[in-house]
Amino acid sequence: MTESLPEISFPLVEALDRCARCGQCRSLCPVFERNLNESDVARGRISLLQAFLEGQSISEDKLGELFYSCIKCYRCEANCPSHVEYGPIISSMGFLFGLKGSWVRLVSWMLRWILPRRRLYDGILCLARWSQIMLPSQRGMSMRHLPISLFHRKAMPALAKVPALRRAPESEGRGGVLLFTGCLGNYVYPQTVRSTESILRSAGFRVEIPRQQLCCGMPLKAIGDKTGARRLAERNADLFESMRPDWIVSPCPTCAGHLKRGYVELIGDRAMPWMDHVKDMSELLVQESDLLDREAKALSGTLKPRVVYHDPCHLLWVLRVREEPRRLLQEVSVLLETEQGPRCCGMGGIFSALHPLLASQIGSQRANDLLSANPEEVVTGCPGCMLQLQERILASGHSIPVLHTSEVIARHLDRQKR
Amino acid sequence: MMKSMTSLRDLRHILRDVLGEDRFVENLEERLCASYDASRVSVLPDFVVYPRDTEDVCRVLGACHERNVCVTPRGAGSGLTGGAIPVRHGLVLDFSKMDRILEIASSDLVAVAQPGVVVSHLQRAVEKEGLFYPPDPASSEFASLGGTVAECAGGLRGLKYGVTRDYILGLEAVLADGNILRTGCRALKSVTGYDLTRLFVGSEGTLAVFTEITCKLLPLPSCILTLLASFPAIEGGLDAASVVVASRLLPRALEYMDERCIRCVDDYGDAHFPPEAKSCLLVELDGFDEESLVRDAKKVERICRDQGALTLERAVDTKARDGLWAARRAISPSLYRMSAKKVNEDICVPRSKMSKMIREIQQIEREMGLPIVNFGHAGDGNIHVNVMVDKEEEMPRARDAVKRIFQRAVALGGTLSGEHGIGLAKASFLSIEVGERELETMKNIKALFDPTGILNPGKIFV
Repeated sequence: MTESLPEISFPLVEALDRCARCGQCRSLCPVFERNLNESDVARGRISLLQAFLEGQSISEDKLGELFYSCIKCYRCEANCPSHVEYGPIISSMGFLFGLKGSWVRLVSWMLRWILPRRRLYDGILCLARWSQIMLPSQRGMSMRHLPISLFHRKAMPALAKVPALRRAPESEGRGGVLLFTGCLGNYVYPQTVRSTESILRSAGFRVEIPRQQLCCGMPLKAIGDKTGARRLAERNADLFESMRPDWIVSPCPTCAGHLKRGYVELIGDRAMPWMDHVKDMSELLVQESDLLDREAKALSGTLKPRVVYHDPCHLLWVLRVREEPRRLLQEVSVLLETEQGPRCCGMGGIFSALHPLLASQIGSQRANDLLSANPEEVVTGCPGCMLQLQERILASGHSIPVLHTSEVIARHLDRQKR
Repeated sequence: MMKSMTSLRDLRHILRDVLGEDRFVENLEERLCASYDASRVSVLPDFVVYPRDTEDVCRVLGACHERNVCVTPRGAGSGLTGGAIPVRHGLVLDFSKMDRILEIASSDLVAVAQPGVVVSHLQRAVEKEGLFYPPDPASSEFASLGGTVAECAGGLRGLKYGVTRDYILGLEAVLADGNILRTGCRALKSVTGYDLTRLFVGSEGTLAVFTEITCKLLPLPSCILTLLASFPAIEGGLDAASVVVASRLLPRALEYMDERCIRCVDDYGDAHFPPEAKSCLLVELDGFDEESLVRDAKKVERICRDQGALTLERAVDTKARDGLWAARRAISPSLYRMSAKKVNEDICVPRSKMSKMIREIQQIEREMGLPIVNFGHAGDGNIHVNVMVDKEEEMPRARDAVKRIFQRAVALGGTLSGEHGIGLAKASFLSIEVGERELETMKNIKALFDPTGILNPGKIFV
């Protein structure tokens, strides 16, 4: 082992040893499906990391590269017959070997500076919005290129005029549901925050959207910056500890998954008290409210849209939520499934920026799966998937809208009220 | 030693130029990724080649043959007996990227595919045409077709549909010296000369390397029906299976689980059995006519009740069937929870000897003091014996238990391995089953095809 290894609190050696080398992950990995490289599946990475820790001269650069080529869908972890904890393993890999190149350092420096400062963050996104307006709309439905070509000239939805947090009502005190907007929810899809809020209120929950909340830290963790990610986690932990919410809900399952399962990697036991309180909106509605029963009665005779549901990887494989969104959507729509079952949309946050071609290929394939179900609308529970799928669907020449589960349900509840 | 270093340098020189650096690889990282399989043994190769076509394979083998460098073919590296481990180093031929299905001919009931095709991909592709490729090892979602042909993989459907061997009509294979050999044909019958196809299937990469595989297909059964029964006696499930077979019923699957196995799965939480259940049997029937299937199902249910079944469930639609299979699928993950390591063997005995074998294993378990979990394919006599090991010190005792289990299996007219192959893991036990003259004959055959012994050395024979 090299001397300069930073401390990893997670029992890494034991976790690596659990891998039975069975090869199941080869059937699960969206990246492997494309490039067929063993080093891109969990088994390959685990073997390499293990060899490195045993003192073999595995290149640290290669290990860093492999950290970035993982799309981090966690499908292999959720389906591993030997229960290998791939999540903490890949994070450790990032903390050990990520953050080496000058460009990642620059990105990490920028994110560390911007993400904890809400007004600066707002300001930068406001600038981005104006520059986005200057550019002509490329593919209809307000998809435009961002001026920065970070995402391989991928079209982006229009940034929100007013971020969701700016509109958040004043806090009423402790308890209730803490709505964690996430950055995409705040700046790109504020309607997902609004609709989640209104549904939860109709279901009888008290909803708090504290303005002090910050980015969950996932973008920093995804580039291997433990310190930066931990600082954000600590600030959010301060907030959770003072608000003591009964539940923490986010329209973004990546944020929710990170709060629930990833914060332990950053702030240890301090994350324990709220782990079980992080839920997806759909879980809360099905398990903790009678909204479904009330609505089921009121629904007969309404015209329902044909929607196809896309499982967001982090909702399905990290939060392990599969049935609840379907239960809800069945009430308000004709729910279709893809023939291929759940598959990654290829977004993967920073992955799309680093591997734009691969991300687009994975995305197009998924868009095809969804379109072949012949839906009127595509529905999913994640703003990241929305962004990717909408772009890929438009790029394929179709104009089927992609909506968030909460939008479809809130729209229905609105119609009922009227 | 000096000679081998120069021959390796030579080989690099020749192959890197023809194949290019993306197909001829020698960095440590990719070599390491071709060094292991599910046997958990790991030996580094000197080079890895990802062949693109038959010609690449011929070139590699020709060059290696001349320089006496060992070649180990590799599919998905999912084998359990170390078949893909390059024990003598040399070169690994990784077929992951030769993964095209070349042809599906509905009128001939034939599919032609490259060895790197994942078995389940082939299955799904032919199912789209209403056809069926029955061999179905537990690893079919990721195992390569080439690997399953080399190991003659079995699976759950042995009783009714046989094993991989029964579905391979012909092979394009490359011999150790780089020459191409074509065996079999596309026709369903062929008695022209010796059956080299059958010789190659299950040869574990020691005789030739496959580059194209012609598979036999069947029409896809349109109805499937699944039953799950639990019994108060450890032999209950096996006795019921025996009566089912004796009653001239032919289920596609007859899966047995013993008491330890049931408790493991129960704790795991995917399926639930009554506390007094000591064995269970999962029966799956398939066919083209639902009425006759239901008739058969009723017969099976009556048999199970006669054998004292505690519970009995039946499922027809995919989701409900999936629910019944949950118990079977949970075995492997739940066993890992029970203890850190397991020695997993796959003996096979004549059907009628299964209960006897299970009782003998229980006896060995008592004597050795290590828990042994049994499950398996009651239709074809294939028992998966898992000796559970917690500490490294227990390993010698586990190996001893395994040896005795092998001896008992062979004494009952069975075999060391029903479907995993011999590879590295079982090579030292081969003489329990294979006599001296038989071994000699096998070695002579090996020498005929691979005189310099460069193909997957160290496997099957010690």
